[in-house]
Amino acid sequence: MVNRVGSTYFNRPFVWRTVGIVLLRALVLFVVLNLVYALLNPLAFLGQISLYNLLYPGRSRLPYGSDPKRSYNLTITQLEAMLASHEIHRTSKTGDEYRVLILGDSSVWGFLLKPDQTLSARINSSDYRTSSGRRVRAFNLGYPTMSIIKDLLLLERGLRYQPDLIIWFVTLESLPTWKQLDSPITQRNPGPTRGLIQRHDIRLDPQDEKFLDLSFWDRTIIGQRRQLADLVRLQLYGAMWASTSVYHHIP
Amino acid sequence: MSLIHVSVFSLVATLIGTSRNSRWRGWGLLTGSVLAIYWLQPATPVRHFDFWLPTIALALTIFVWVATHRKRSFDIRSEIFTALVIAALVLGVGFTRYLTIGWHLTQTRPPSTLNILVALIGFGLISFLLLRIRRESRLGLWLLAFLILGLFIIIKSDQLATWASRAARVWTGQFPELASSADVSWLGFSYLALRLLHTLRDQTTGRLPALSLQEYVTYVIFFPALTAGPIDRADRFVRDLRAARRITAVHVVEGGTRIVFGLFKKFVLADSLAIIALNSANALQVKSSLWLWILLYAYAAQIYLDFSGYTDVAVGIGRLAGIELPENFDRPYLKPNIVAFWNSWHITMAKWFRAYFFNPLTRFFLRSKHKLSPWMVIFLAQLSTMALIGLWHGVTWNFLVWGIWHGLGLYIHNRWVAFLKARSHVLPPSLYSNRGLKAASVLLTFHFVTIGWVWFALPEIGLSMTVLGRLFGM
Repeated sequence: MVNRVGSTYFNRPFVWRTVGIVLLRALVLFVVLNLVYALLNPLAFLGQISLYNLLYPGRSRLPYGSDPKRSYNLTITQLEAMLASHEIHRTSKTGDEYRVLILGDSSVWGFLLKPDQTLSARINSSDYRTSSGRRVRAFNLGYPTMSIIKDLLLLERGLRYQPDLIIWFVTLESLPTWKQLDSPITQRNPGPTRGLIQRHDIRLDPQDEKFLDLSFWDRTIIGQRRQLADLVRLQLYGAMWASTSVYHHIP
Repeated sequence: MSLIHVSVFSLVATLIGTSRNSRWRGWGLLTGSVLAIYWLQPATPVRHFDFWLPTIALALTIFVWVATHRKRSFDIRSEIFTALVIAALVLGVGFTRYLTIGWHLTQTRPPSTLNILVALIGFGLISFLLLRIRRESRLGLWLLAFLILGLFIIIKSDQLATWASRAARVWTGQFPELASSADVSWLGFSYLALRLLHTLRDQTTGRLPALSLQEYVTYVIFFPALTAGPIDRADRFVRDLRAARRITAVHVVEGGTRIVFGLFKKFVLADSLAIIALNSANALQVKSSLWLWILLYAYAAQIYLDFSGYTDVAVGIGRLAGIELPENFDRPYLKPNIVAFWNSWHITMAKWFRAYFFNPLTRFFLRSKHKLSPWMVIFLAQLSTMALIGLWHGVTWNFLVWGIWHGLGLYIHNRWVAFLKARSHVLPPSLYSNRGLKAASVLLTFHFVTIGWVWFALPEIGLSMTVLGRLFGM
């Protein structure tokens, strides 16, 4: 630009045509970027890029929080990002580890509980051993909504981490069919949830209107600006989680 | 300023800057600035404060102009016309009360037209009175200076602001028990006060150029610089205003680039860093010194990016309107000493305090009957100037300590330079060009400034001291 500033073109009196051309070029570039992004649909890939378990330790509970500024946590529904921020994502299982996954609703997640009061934390602090001497290591995959298909969705992901035991807390309140798709996780992950319905022949409508299917527009940068911002915020709150161990504000 | 404010201001500035008629450009800037002062003012719980605070700011500006303008410099009829245009604009803002919610220029519904008319007539009478006083003495100038300083102290002090809010609530028939200092959030008054005081002072020393009411009001409340500066000087500002040149594509490209960079610095970088920056909530939650340092570095970066981002936006919009606002930052964290830092951090404010407080105070000490040693003069002048700069940010102990911290730093640097100068004949010349030493100086200065931010970021002395102790493992 330095060279062009001295040119006749740039020094002549301003005309709206100039700004029109600049804006048009910017618009074209912006549209192209959005189209490419929508075609690639890279949100799932981006969700796997995480500073957790790299710069700071993974979270001991899945990200969930209605007051991010106080709890240094936020609610996101993107499964890849949720699990990438969890401590279970850290390392492959060692030989002497007996891996336990705990699933359930807010009681398992530990709503209004301090970090050391959750079931998984109590198990870990007890330093249990199996009869063969393997150290019991519990991971909290609970999430504060009542729906067993939501639990199933998390269980399917959790199986990738080679659990030896799964403890799944179910209350009657999480069983009704009409409640299954009320959880934002199931609504915002229509593909994986429909997959579960088909594979396990669950009596739920795969075309239920509660599913939030993304239109092409929703897959653009503009359409996904909130999800993208949340991914960045999740990483930033990770620094606060690492520095304070706070991830849930208890009034 | 929000993104909507910036977008609208950029468009308005470009429209004004491209105007072929310089007279219309002047009126455009005045109109834009008067309307912006209402639009930018945030809502407060005290009824109609979002209308009255900008109106009082405008009235104060006109009072100062009346007290400082040069007689016979301008056509009195055109000045009265300008005053009437401003009054009409204020009334116009008031008339938006008759529109549906969402169409008011102010955040809440403006007060009744009758109240506005009464206030305008009252302000007119005060202006007339000031004009009469002005003919006989400088009493008007002093009264205005004390009034501005008084208002400044009230809004910057928690207790006084709460009392002011209580009084306002009694006046408006609201619950005085709910009064809070936050009720008196007067947008841009810190900057407005410095501009008004600058012109009052320059009038007494004869340095103030002849300014028409239109030029003066535009200078004081120039919309891009209203919220966070820079604090321009009237003589410099008016030179640009009178230059009457249409902007070129260079202005648009440079101005637009500055705005985009500014927005990125403020809304992307600074707002993201705000999540991990040191504050009163996280200061005691942090588990280790290392993390506390990281939070403090984040705060240092955030405050710079936030403030310099706003400056970029202001300079960029100013450029679109054909006004070259002064720069406020020049890579301050890369400076090798604290003097260089203060020559590159919030430059216009530092210059203001140097010109209107430090220099007069130094002259006063040097001319006083009780001769003080030069080092004592420097010590007192630097310490009191920096303490005042601290208090300008808010009348609290923490800001005062922050100012004193920097005052001490400047004094120690001054003595260090004198010490080196006295030994310059024994020191090798290569010492001054040593890169390692320069890097160490930059690092030392940065950390001196960063440690100072602890008092700036936290509201209480006790908390600041605890955090400082923990930073050093105590």
